[in-house]
Amino acid sequence: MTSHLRTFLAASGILAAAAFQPALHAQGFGGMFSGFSMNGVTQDEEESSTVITASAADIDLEHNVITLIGDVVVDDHSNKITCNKMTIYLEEDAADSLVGTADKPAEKADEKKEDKPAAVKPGDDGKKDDKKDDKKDDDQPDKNISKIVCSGDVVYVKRANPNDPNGQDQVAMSEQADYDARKELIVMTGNPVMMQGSNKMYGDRIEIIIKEGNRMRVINPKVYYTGESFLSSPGSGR
Amino acid sequence: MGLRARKIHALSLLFILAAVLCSGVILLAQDISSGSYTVLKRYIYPRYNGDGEIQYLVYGATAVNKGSLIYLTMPMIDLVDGSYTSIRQIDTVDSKDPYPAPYKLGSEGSVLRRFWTSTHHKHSQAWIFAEKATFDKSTNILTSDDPAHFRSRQLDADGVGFDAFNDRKFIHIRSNVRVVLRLKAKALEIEEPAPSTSNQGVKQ
Repeated sequence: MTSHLRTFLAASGILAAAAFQPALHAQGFGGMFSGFSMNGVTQDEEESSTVITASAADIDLEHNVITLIGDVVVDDHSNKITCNKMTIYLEEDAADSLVGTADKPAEKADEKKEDKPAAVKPGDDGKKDDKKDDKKDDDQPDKNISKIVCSGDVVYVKRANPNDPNGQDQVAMSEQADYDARKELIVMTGNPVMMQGSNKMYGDRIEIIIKEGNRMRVINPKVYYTGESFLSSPGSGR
Repeated sequence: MGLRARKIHALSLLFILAAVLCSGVILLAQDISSGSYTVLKRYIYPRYNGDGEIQYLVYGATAVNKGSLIYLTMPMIDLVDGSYTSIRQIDTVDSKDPYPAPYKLGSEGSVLRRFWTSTHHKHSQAWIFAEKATFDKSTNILTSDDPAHFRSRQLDADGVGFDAFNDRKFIHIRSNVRVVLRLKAKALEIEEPAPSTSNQGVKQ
């Protein structure tokens, strides 16, 4: 009975921590890609960038997909994600951003025509110049990434606030993590587990709700208490 | 046709031939497109798709053309966006300009803006820089074992070695990849560039 009570209390504690702990209201997985700093302060737009390292990369400009392969790491000091493969999908308009939202005023091009050297392609007379007029204007959207899929040994670490002496890193692990930019939601699936300190919580999936301050939610949770009790009663059982 | 007419015709042909030979651009395009052994310095090589649109421009310090392969030093590949049918429509990098180099990964916004609002880059989808590369004209694939730098408005990447499948607009960076993903590419477009004064794009 005591063991069950302890487990229940541990579960409640983790759920409460997951739902209300300030640390979780800072940035999470999605925040790393949303252009906000770890403090939730909006950075200058031009500086809102994310650094990713990997063993290799495929950049598909035609299909607007970037695939990072092998030892993928995203680390912004307050959050860290590692996985085996990360696929970044861009929205159609965002793809224009990736491959260039070239400004091609026909007038400017024509002005330069006279100064340019002769055409380098034999027989090229520039007959299709008028096609440039069909290009759409520069109308880049605010949101460029449509989704990100991390797969293979996904580990998300939310580092504890260094100013909090009792703070502990929170770690979530799964086989896959899907970040939906429209829903501002991350879903971790495939044997997901969330850990903080010595507590573990398993479930069907873990959701990280970005627009609610990266609130983490474990669906159908099963809690395992594996370490010291926050009620100061030492425990060793689950 | 009388003798006088034939002489005039022959002179005209000679004149045209001389004009062609004097035109480095046409010479460049024809030589580098053929399999003949050619060494070029500070060149531009445009590649067109089946619709006659420029797919990309290859710049470089030197190019040695041997058969179907072109060995490039300091190559830069300008992946052109869309529907240009003549290089004259593009403000290419002038041979008198300092030789372009990629901005460093993680450069501040002003550096990025300066690069992407330059008239040399506004038409571009992306740029690839490398120290050396080999271009296979028969497969349209550019490969390199050396450090490479990919730059676009949305994404910058550094790595070692790459294979660029230009027909598919697909670039594989082989190892040691470091990517900077930008989310606010629009910020790069705020400032209008200063008007370019360059008027020459190709030199041998």
